[in-house]
Amino acid sequence: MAQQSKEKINWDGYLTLAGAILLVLVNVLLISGKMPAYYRGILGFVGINIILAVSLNLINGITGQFSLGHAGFMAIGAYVSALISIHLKWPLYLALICGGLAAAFLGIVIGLPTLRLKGDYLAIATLGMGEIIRVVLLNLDITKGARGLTGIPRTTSIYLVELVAFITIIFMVNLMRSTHGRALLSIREDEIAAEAMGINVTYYKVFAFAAGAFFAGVAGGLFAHLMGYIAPKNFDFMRSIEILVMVVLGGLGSITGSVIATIVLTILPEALRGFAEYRMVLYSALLIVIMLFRPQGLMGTRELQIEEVRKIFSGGGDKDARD
Amino acid sequence: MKKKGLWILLIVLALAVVVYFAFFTGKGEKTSVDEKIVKIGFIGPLTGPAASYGTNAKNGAVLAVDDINASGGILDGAKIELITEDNKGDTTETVNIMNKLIEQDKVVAIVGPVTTGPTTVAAQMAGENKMPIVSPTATGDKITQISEFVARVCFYDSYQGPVMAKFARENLGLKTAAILYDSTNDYSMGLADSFALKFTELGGEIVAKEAFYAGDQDFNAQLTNIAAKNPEAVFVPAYYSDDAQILLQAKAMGLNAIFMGGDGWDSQELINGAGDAAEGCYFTTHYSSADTSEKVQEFLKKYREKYNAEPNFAGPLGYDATLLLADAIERAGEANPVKVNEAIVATKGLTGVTGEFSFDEYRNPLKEVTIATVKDGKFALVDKVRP
Repeated sequence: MAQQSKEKINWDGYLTLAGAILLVLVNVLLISGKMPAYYRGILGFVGINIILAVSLNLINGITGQFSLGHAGFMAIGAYVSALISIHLKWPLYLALICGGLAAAFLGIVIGLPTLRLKGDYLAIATLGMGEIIRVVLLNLDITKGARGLTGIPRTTSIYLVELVAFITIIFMVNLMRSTHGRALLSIREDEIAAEAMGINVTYYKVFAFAAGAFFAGVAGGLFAHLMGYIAPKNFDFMRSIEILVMVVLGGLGSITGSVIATIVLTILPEALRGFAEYRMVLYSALLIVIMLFRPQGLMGTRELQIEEVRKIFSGGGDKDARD
Repeated sequence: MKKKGLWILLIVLALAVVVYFAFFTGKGEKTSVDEKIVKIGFIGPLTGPAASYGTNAKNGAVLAVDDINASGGILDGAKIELITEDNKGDTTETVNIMNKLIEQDKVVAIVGPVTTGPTTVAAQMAGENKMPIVSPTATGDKITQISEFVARVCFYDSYQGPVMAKFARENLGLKTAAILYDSTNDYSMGLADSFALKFTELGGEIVAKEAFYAGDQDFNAQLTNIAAKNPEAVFVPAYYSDDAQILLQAKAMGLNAIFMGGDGWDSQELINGAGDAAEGCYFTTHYSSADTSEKVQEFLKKYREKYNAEPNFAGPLGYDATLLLADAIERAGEANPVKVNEAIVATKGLTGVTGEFSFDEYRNPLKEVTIATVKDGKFALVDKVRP
């Protein structure tokens, strides 16, 4: 029996190990200043997308509420923090937190009525919300409408993006293991049963919505201060879809899945530059192929864990009961 | 068992080190570019909603490079190599492309981006990296003020708005005008404001100002409001797809005013889409294919031969932007971005397809604006004016 289980390769463990080594390598390159600006730029967008995807995963994957308005929350965070930086000249971290709080507040205000809806209906309501935010931004004077907001101090550093992405992931992992996380999972699995067990379903749904919106808002703030220029066009419906694709591709409910999918999907369009006009065709074709072969997403609902790495070193996987 | 795990770790680490040295070191030293090739970058939307402008600008740039290389190249026989990248009209992609062109491809200068939003982002990076960029078609007023490394060959929004206002007021003698603009579009807003300002300054009156959103199909509500004020002219600074719909619906409701617009009207699609309704409208643009000047006709001939298509205004502007860069590199005497930028700023009286131009203090071209009309289902040249 021991012989058999030894032959079973512990892929999760190796993947985690490779990921950890990659992370160290990337940071060594960053700190030593050897990383070209091109890769550094892409890395920044990867980090921001990770925050967005992981926070959307909280709403869509973990709590099971289908939201299509994530770009809207990102827009609120981006505009609020950018306007604070421009007009009040507050330091970046305060601007980011305010942006996040504004998005979270909106998440609560919008979440309370709309989260009574389920499935497709909720998807449409959140889609509408995202569009309303975009149209409001287009028509306000303070946001300069379609001209976009210029002159935002470009203070986002790649380390800050990394740090916030790290905090987001830690928050989600800890949340998943807490009472609150279990409550969210139970709502995904069976709302009626969860309510029967004494879980305040409305409270937890709104909580997930607000927390997801907060991180999306912070990501928006980072984006604004990275680009120095934002326009409502940056936060349209397609942006929401892009984030959703990352979550679905990674596996609804898997945080590490979201991270891996985000890295792949952010780097892919750049890696395919050599194919010129056919780039986006290839990109879409790859998406289709992946979804055909892994409809549950790259990781399903599994997670990569340090625990798995230890199994490699302590002599191969014993019973691999994980699915 | 423990040893096996350690071995794996070692192998992975060794691989990582190999990858590190293979990809990231030594790249910096390979700066000795082949002396016979000067690289120029091109950034524009080759896919997405603005692709028609991006593709035309790219085609124009390729034509210019072909012409220059065929006539002996620049800097004593060096050939220009154009590296084209698609930004989908997206700001994020533009950041990545700017980094790539500057660092990986080591270009001397960049033609593009094509639209205003991405150009704003590229302009900041141009300043930081001391990399000259020349936008063929970004008409947003303030983009060239962002950095001294940004220039353009098209006129800006508030340059052409007043030209049309003056033409409407003085040449056509119109007293009242309405404005119908796209409030989701910075270009449209800029034109609407500058037109209104000049028109009222010249003693005209703006009787109605109505907005629509890009992608709207039904303009009847706005047109009814405008018709109620009975203006002599309706200024519609928008893109041809919207313009065609507006013209058709205005004709259907019997709104009897002269329609006018900006360079966004300049596309064969306008006539194809609006048919009769486009007759007698006026718009400002960068050049007219009906212009009989030798430069224009020669360009059109080459463009049609190579691409088997009619260019819109972005074609000649892409050509001119590339021509301007080649001329600047030649005058700089070497393929050095900072020197090339100095030469760009000093450009005087260069003749391109879209006219002769020099730069104002913010590297905007001072040149003629073409006023065109639609006559018997074809574009016709009305006048060329300097504001």
